[in-house]
Amino acid sequence: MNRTQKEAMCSLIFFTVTLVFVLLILAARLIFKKDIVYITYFMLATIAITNVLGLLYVLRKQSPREVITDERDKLIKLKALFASFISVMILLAAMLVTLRIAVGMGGSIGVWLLTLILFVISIAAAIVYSAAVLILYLFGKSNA
Amino acid sequence: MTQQDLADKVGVTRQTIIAIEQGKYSPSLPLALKIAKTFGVTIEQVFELNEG
Repeated sequence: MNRTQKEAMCSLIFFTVTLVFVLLILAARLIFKKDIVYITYFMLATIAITNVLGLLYVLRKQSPREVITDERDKLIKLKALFASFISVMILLAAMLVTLRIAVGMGGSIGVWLLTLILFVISIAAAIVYSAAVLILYLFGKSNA
Repeated sequence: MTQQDLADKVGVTRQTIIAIEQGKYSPSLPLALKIAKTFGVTIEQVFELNEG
């Protein structure tokens, strides 16, 4: 496994955990009407520290001759970026259609909900990017 | 020469060399030239055009 794969694996785990965590907090707020501020901060801090430690481990050079990135990595990253962009467009369209049906043309939504939607879409885009990198490494057939 | 040695000499990762060997990745012209130069042969002796 080279560095690009390790980075993608690290990001995939981190963003998936973050997405699940955000959705759990949202569910707790909506269902139980409870604001779990301290647990939220603690969990976010734990995720952030774990991610920093994971990245430090991944980014350390294993040997002085180790190649960090090459032309195939760049090609794979470009394709993954395209997949991520497409996923953002699809998710945005789906969210807009859902909001249009839910609140109607003249309806309004809270700023927190809009922020949450953009946050979730950003995390989803990062997950798609990381997953695409790993999939392309495993199964991708590519040309320079 | 190991895959890692070749990768280090031409400046790519070992995974890229493996992908080239398996036909999963077609290298750029500069990389193909570097590989041929490392082996001291012409590019046609290392790579062949696979049409289709």
